[in-house]
Amino acid sequence: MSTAAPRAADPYLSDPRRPATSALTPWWRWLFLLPGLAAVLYGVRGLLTAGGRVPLDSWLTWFVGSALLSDLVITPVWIALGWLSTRLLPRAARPAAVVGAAVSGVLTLVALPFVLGKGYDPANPSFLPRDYGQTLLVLVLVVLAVSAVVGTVAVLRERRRS
Amino acid sequence: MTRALDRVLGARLPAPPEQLRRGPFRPGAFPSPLHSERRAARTGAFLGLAFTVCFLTGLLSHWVQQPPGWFSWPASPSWLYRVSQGTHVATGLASIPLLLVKLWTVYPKLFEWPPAGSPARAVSRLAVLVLVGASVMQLLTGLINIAEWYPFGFFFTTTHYWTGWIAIGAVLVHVGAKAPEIRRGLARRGSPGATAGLDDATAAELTAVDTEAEVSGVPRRAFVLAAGLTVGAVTLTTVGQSVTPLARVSVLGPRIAGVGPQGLPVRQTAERAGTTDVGADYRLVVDGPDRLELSLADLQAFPQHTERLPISCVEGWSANATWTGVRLADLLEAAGLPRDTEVTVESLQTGGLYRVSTVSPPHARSPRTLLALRLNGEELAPDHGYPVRLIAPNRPGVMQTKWVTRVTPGAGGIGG
Repeated sequence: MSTAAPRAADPYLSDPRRPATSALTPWWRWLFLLPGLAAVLYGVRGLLTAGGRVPLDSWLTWFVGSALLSDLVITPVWIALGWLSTRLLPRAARPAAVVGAAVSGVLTLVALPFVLGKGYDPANPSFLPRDYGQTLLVLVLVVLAVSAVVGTVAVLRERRRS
Repeated sequence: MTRALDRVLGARLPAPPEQLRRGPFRPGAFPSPLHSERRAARTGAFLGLAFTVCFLTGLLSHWVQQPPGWFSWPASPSWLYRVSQGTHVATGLASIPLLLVKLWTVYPKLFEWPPAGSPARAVSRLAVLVLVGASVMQLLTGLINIAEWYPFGFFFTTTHYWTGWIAIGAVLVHVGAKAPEIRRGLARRGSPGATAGLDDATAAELTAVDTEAEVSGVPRRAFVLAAGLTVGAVTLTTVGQSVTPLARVSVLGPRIAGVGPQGLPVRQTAERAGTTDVGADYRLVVDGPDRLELSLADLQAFPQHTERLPISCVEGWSANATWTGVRLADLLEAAGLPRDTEVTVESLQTGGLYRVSTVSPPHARSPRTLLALRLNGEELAPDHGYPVRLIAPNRPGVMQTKWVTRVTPGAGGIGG
């Protein structure tokens, strides 16, 4: 297949009112679209008929809230950090900084519910048996220290080369 | 000749006035070449795989606890549920960084201009909202749930189950909707497939972005490394809750195999269940043609058997332990019932959804299914179900009923 071939094969090419893209092709998209729609409808029906176990206002709050949390908080914060790094860090140090920040950031997010310990039960010492705040702090410091070392080495190498 | 559906869905919609195109809507507002179709497709392939694993293992766990008529769950191998549910939670946790990476990659699409170029785009964007909402919600509430924190206002398991159908459906719809982009993104860079279906100008633009991604300030290799290391870090720090040899390495795991009363972690405590004061008047009733009413001493007089079986919590953690007690099938036989009778096991616990569980025929007849009196060589601790608990191979922890007081023929609780 060459780059020109799909265009030549476009059956709509002669039609001046043709759509920007075809929704109908490739044919195998329907193998995903139709079962996918069926699964979504099945899930929605299940939620609607779950009665008191799933109050729909709570469900909607978490559903919309989750999308907003990622779109308006987590991703913008990360993009802002990336923007800052282009201003503050030498180019050679940026890959290490990004990797270090990503690892420590994700560990923090995943550990946060354990650090907050809202489910902690003093009668059950087998649940949350560690000091998660301190453990996380050590992990983050180690990850950031390693990325700082790797970044510094990269900058020094770059300087020696130029 | 254009087909009618395409004419409707593909009709070009008027764009809003250009003056409104500000901030993140400006062209070039997101300069990184890693915001590309290629990175989105490739991260998406891993994420799609992870979601499929989560969905299937989740569905299995649902069927084990609420079996449809055609479904039968075996008693052997004893570790199957442990592996399946450990995989469910570990894959869900690993999906958190994958999803964040994926959402970052496609973030500029949120500010696409015009916001909806055609009805097809409008529908597609609504479908993406469903996908993002359901995906983030599943991972977020799942994580909060394994921290045993319930701020939801809904019942977690029911919601997680139905939202799981929405999430996997939305993933499938997304794959179908993005079929051309996925095909290009997964094709080798520079191959004809990588620009299939694009006009020359768009193809050149796409190729330039992918070429720049190789050498940009944060290059593709750093992106891939960040994605891989975040997944690795999350997995390594938590998976020891189900993979016992890694228990001490997984410093963020909410439970440690070997830590708890008698060296075994606990989910429901005797204090919460209200079963701390079990006295000498305790009796185990086995209903049947020859009804039994057994004291603890009567149970100890039955032949005792020892089995090494895991507790495998739906929250993902699991741990092996050595249990000693009476075979359930021996008790059923003594009560005049066939050894493979389906029975309901009832707890002294007064409330909660899990105070009763159904033992299906494969588990009832299994010689490894015990009404355990001892754990790791000692009389059961109250938190492990003193005086008697059910322990059967290949069942979720919520169905290993503690503080057992009654065994009745028939399906009555979870698992039936």
